[in-house]
Amino acid sequence: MKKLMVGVFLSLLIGLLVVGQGVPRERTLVIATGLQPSTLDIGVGYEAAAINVNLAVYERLVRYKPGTVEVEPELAKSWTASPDGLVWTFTLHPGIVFHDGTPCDAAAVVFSFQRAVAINLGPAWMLEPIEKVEAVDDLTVRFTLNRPYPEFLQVLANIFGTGIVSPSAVEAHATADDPWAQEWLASHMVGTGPYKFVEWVKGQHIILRRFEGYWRGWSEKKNNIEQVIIRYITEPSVQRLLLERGDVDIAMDISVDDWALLKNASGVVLVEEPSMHATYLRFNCAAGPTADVRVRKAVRAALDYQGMIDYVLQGHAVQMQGAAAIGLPCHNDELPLPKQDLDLARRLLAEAGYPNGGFTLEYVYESGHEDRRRVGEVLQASLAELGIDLKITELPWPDLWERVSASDPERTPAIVANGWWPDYADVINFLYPMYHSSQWPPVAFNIGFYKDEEVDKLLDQAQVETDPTVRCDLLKDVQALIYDDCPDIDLYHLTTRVALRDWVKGYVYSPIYTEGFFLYDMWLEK
Amino acid sequence: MWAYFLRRLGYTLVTLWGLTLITFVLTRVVPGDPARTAAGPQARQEQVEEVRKLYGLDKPLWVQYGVYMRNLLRGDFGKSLWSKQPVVTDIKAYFLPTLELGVFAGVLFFTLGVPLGVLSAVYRNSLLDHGSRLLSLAGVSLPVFILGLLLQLVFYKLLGWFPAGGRFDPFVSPPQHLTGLYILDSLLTGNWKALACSLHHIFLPAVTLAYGSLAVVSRMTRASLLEVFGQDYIKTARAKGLSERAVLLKHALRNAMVPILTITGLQVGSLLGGVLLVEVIFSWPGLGTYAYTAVTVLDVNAIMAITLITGIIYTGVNFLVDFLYTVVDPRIRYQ
Repeated sequence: MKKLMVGVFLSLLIGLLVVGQGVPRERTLVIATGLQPSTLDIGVGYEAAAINVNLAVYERLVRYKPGTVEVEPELAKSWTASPDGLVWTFTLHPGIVFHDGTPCDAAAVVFSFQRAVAINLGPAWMLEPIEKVEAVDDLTVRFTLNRPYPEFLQVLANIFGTGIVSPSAVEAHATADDPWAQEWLASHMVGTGPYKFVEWVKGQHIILRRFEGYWRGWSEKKNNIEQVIIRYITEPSVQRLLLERGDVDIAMDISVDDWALLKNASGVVLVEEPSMHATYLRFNCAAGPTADVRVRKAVRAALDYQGMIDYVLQGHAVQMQGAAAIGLPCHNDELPLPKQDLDLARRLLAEAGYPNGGFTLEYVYESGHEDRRRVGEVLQASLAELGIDLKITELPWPDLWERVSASDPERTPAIVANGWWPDYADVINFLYPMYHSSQWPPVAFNIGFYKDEEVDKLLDQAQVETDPTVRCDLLKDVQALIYDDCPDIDLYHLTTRVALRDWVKGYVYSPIYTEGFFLYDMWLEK
Repeated sequence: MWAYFLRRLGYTLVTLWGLTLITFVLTRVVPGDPARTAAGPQARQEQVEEVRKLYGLDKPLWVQYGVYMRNLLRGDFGKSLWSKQPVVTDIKAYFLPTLELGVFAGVLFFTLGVPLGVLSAVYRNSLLDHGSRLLSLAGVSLPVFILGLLLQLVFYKLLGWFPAGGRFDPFVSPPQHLTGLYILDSLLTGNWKALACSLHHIFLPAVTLAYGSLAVVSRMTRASLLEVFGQDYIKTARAKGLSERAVLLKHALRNAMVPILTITGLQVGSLLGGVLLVEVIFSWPGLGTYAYTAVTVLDVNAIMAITLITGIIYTGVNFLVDFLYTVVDPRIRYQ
């Protein structure tokens, strides 16, 4: 009995000691999000859910300056490109170390890119033009490309696949079947960022801890965040409850209704910014009535845009201008914003040979996207006035993809609601995959079988044009041509909503790293 | 009797094999391309083909099934198309929290439901009986998700007594890993702080999950006991001069137990269904959330594994119930 008591006492003591080692709540930033990544592997993951950890733990050669789409140095302090745009040379900051203590030098950068290319999953397509990457000396990395790649810097700043991972950590966990240690890196991270990975309890949380050896140093920073806990809270209303009671500091998924209620809550700061996420209605340009540009334009003129933004989206969106996201460099700001004009729509339909409508179009959207369902209903009401019957079909994503990836346009629906995220801040990331005729299904995302020779030609030129001004003009022309051909209706950019407690300081919304935080620049004032 | 159970075991195996066949065919014939979803929405066609080859999805269906079954017999469920990890690794992480919540809720509804039913039967038409009837009525008519949200609102937001979700407080060290079940591990290692934290977190989700079943079991116990109370052998027992307590526990309850066991077995099925919802509401890191993701991204291997595990649990519980019949009522003989 005595032994038992001593045992109980000792284990209690050990329990208390272990708990006491933890970082207190005041120096911990707790983030609630519903999105859990499928993998933490920087060479594999390609999903918004991985942005927050990728941005905190890994660093890239270059990055987007907080709050902007401008590229600035990160691990590389400078770089040069050869005049033909084929050779890029980067010089690294000296003295950078990984979280495992090994140095981050040119060889590590080379290794990370070789790894992502060899795995060839997810983000690897962006690295396709890389022919060779080599370490010139300890701090110099040289990329040789197989074609000019004007958006190369943008690609390097993107959050997927370009983070630099510790080669010794990979080698330590590699096996004969798994030479790139994918199994281990799926649930571990070893980078150079200001926060190091501590643990991932699946379905519960990821914990990050401040990396004392961070190469930029901590002495001059206000940052007092020693620990970051990312909690996976699936139910948005629970995120609101947790935020209100101060159990989490940041909530990522506040519903529209709760957002309105939180506006009056004290101690809560709401940040809402238009995202670069674009929602389109893509027409089948190769079969059915929508193969006729006049019918497509008639549908475009039938939709009530203001009503859609005000009522369907309750103001949490801005109307798109053209096919590329507003705010990107080379976005064409001169394009008109479509407006509802039923007379124009009737005239166009009459010209196309359908004075009284009299046909049916199928509208397909992905389940779970409430906004797209309601847009369908708004469109259905507008088209009914023109005598066009709109049949609305909801499909889960795999089924929807099956419908739109068939190479036979006869099987593709007349209108598909579709979304697009830019991986990096360049309009070509919108224009080439969705509008170049080489990207017809099943290859890629020109799901409406749009083809225009001029658009193809200009895009081909822009792909290799190294003069930024000339390239920008080409891309603006492409946007104008696409607007004129109306292969889709450019609907809206949804806003990103982040709710924070007022003691969280230094948060800046980032248009490309939407879900991410520049934690190094943040602090808590409790 | 052992021959009977062996035969039952054989049937169970055949059932499970049938389950693999049906799920396999279903996950393969539904529209949608698993390789495309695994490769990601922005992946190029070559990458999709690479994924297809990697997961053997390019082979004919019967070959895929053969390979699947061969691996399954070795305990290998294949790789998840979503997490790119062996399904076994994922299931290990997500199954234990579900098991813990399920067992806790099961114990809760059985240990509270049966006594409540007994009391209602003994004090029939008393205030207690009416109260328990009201409680049960609410239990069977309140949907799980509304009950869960209500409990969160009252016990987290208004009173602050219980956490709103999660399995454990991230600021407290979890118990040393022995079984992976936090409550059991805390008990085994004598880590009382972790035990308190686990119980604190499991309480609301478990009550939410157990409430409906508790209602059903308590009503069933009451009805079954009342029926037994009218039997001649109870009169005999009382005539022999046995105390009411002995009559109730030794004669009545034991005879009333068979239907209670049946309904308990069936309630385990509804528990398995309800747990998915409860996990989402309470951010419980279990199979429910994993299953939801697996279905939305058509992660065929994960779907197969989850279905199979659920099937094993369900058939296992029914098997156990059949066995328990012979324990509570020795007259039951299986031929």
